[in-house]
Amino acid sequence: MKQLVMRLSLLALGCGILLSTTHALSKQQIEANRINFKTRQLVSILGDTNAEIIRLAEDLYRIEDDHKLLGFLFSRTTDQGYNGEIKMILAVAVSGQVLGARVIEHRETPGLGDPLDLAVSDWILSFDGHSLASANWLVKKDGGDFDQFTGATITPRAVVGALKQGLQYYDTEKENWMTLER
Amino acid sequence: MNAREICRQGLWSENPALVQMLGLCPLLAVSNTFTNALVLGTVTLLVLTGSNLTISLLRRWLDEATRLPAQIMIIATFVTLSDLLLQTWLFEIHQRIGLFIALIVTNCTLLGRAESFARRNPVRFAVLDGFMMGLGFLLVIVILGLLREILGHGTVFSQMYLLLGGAQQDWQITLHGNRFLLMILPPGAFLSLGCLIALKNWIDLKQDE
Repeated sequence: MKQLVMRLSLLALGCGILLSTTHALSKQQIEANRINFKTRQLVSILGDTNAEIIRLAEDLYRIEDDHKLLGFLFSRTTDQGYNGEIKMILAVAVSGQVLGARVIEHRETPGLGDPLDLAVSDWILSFDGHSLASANWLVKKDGGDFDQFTGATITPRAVVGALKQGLQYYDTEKENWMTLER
Repeated sequence: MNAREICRQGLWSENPALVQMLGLCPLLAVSNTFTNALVLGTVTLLVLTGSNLTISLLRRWLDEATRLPAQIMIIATFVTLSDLLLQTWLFEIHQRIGLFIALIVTNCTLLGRAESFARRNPVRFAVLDGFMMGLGFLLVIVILGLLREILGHGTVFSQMYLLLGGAQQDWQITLHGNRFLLMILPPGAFLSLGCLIALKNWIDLKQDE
């Protein structure tokens, strides 16, 4: 009996050492990948510009081009999707126009709700250039201006709704954000 | 027991997906595109080979009472290891199918091979068995992935850029623009797998005649 316990413990120790060593060795790279992935998404939102993003607070960035304020970048989350939360980032120009939007985390049905992901379809780009006044922020099925997906309405409805709320939120917060120190 | 027989069992007569029907959860869930299927199948193959190797090495050291927890611990270690390595090297792929990587632990093929083969056989046979069973699984999941991607999305090799680098559309071949929803959704996975199993049985019957 004693021997059994000894052997199992020894095996667990071996497995533990192997995994903690790998974890220690890969931790930095994984964290770098995570940050890299996020920054790439943030910058890709702006397209081909030299604009840079400056962090103001958690999930709030100021977009500047040549030290001139272009707009703000912030995140929005909605639980109106089909499955769990959909996390988005939204870049809005000072004028209130959408500079870009991306879904960065979601658990919508693969193949059905995932056209919201830029890796799957260009749908998320259809918001570029629009402001609250320039479009009817509903999916076409509800009488608005934005496409739904084949066979999936709940997911795009959630995103369109969240982006609209994001723009409204931006309108109320804009003045505050402009005074924020870097 | 000879090497030839082990290969034949893994790839055909005892194929984990088509005959033993083990590991169906990842097989059905991740076979929606070729790229996803390839990554999950490859990781499964590597974990299965590694766990068979380790369990066979330790076969005289572990006894009846401790073998099950020991086997699960070894399998879980290999799975966690590949999860970490995938996050290190293929972060974006991991973002997509990470959930199913962790679930490889529950793929019954792994514990099944440990129990029925690796713990009773010498290392070289155990490694070959793990590799061939893994390859049998990989081939089936990749064929399912191809089938469902072609019929469901009308593309082949979409998102291969996550594996091979380059721009988003680089490796993708678009065959037709129509989406066939049934094939993308879970019922399509069941139907395709059913057709593959039927095809295998038909070939076996033909050969018996």
